[in-house]
Amino acid sequence: MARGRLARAYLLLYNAAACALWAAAAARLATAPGGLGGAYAAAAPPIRAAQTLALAEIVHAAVGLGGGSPPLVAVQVLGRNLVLFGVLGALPAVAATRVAGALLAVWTAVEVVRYPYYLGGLVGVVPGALTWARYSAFLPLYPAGMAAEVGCYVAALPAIDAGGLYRVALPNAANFAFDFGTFVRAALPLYLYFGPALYVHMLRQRRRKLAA
Amino acid sequence: MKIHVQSRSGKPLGTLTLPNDADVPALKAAYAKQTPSMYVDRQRFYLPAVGGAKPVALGDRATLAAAGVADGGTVVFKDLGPQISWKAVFVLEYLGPLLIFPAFLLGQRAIYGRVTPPGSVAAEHQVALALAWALHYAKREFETLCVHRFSHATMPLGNLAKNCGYYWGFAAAVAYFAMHPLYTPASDAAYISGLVTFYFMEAGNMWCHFKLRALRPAGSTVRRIPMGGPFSYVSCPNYTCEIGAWVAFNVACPTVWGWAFAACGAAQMAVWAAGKHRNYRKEFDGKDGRPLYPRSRKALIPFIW
Repeated sequence: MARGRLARAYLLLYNAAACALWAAAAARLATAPGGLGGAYAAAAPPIRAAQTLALAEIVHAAVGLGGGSPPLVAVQVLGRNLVLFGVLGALPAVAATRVAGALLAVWTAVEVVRYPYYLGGLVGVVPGALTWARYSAFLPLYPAGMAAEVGCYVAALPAIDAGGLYRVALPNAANFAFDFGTFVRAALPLYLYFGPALYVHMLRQRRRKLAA
Repeated sequence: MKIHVQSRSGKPLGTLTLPNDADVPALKAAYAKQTPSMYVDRQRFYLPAVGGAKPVALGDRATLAAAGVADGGTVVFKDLGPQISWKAVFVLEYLGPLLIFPAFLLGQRAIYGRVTPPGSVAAEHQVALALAWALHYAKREFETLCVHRFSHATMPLGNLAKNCGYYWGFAAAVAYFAMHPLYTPASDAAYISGLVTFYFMEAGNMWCHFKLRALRPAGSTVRRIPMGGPFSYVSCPNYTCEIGAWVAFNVACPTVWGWAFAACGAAQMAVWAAGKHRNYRKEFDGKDGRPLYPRSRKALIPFIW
């Protein structure tokens, strides 16, 4: 892809910032008091910053700055942000569970490889081991992340129902109603379909990238 | 002349004998006679691809000789899949909304377990709004059966589920909240001005459809420049009226799903209007005796776009 110098400089800056934030998250996770249960309390600030920054990746995909199809990138970023900000950020008791800590640990493990790989690609130095790690780490981490994400929702469902999180009830002037618990129950089965589909897609990419 | 037919992967599909001046429709008719399951509407023919170039489709107007197919030549056949007539798709996709809105109103007790308090403003609005919605789709059914002249006979059968899902799904989402016993009605001013504008826009939309029908003689695919009334300002006033009607409906009947439906429809019609506007300007360029398309005319929004 032909890129202008300005675009390249911007992407360099963007990926360096993402690298730094996820590295900070990794450091905080490694030293988190209370293990997985204390992971969110320790590592949430850099992860929340990184995931806010990641919204830019939807724009990147839309304007052709980064790889990936815009809808796919949007689903991945927004899906993560829904559980991070919408569930863990809103329900401290759920954020303090081990499954929430496991989710953050898996994300961090993925990103401390992925962003250096992008950064390396931009400066033209990608060690073979980094490419291998980029296209191998997902083998266990992707299913683990999916399971942890679903686990967070399941752990949160009682609190979502009891507290009426994000519930909009009739009557109101917009004539609109919404029940987050129902939405989550309807959406969770989608993981069963899209999870394996994405995994197969990444397996195919792995074969292509590592063969080269 | 003899024409060899092959599949896209190069498999021979037979040889047809045609008159020397045969055109593409004659080729399709002959192929349908040889292979009856491949009726004319699901056929498309291409010239064989040369090198890596994209294969060139044979349009229905050309004679084979003019398209570059000589005696003993080869054409490539593509099966477009099972087809359904546009008319049938339209009738079915509008039937859902036509029935769904009144069904939510009349079935309140079964669906919500209670009814809107009788005599309330909400109850009064709901009857008029269900009627307005149903009349819109009754009008569309009438136009589909009696007014529209379709330039294509059929579309792929798969589109039926997609189109019905869109119209039926949105109708159910809007109707569920608009016909709800806890429905919050619009203010009197919004309700009355909205409904009046809605019917005015519906009338304008229908006027445009009759005007467009009159432009194209029955059984032809003639294209002319529409003139008069709102056509003086925009190329697609039927879409302008349709979008206006849905905005007005939502003013009279405020629901989040209703606005979402209007936004999706407006976005789709904007794409169509841009295409039609471009085609009009390209086709009527004022050269070689062709009329010149009015330069000041906009696509969808008078004076602006």
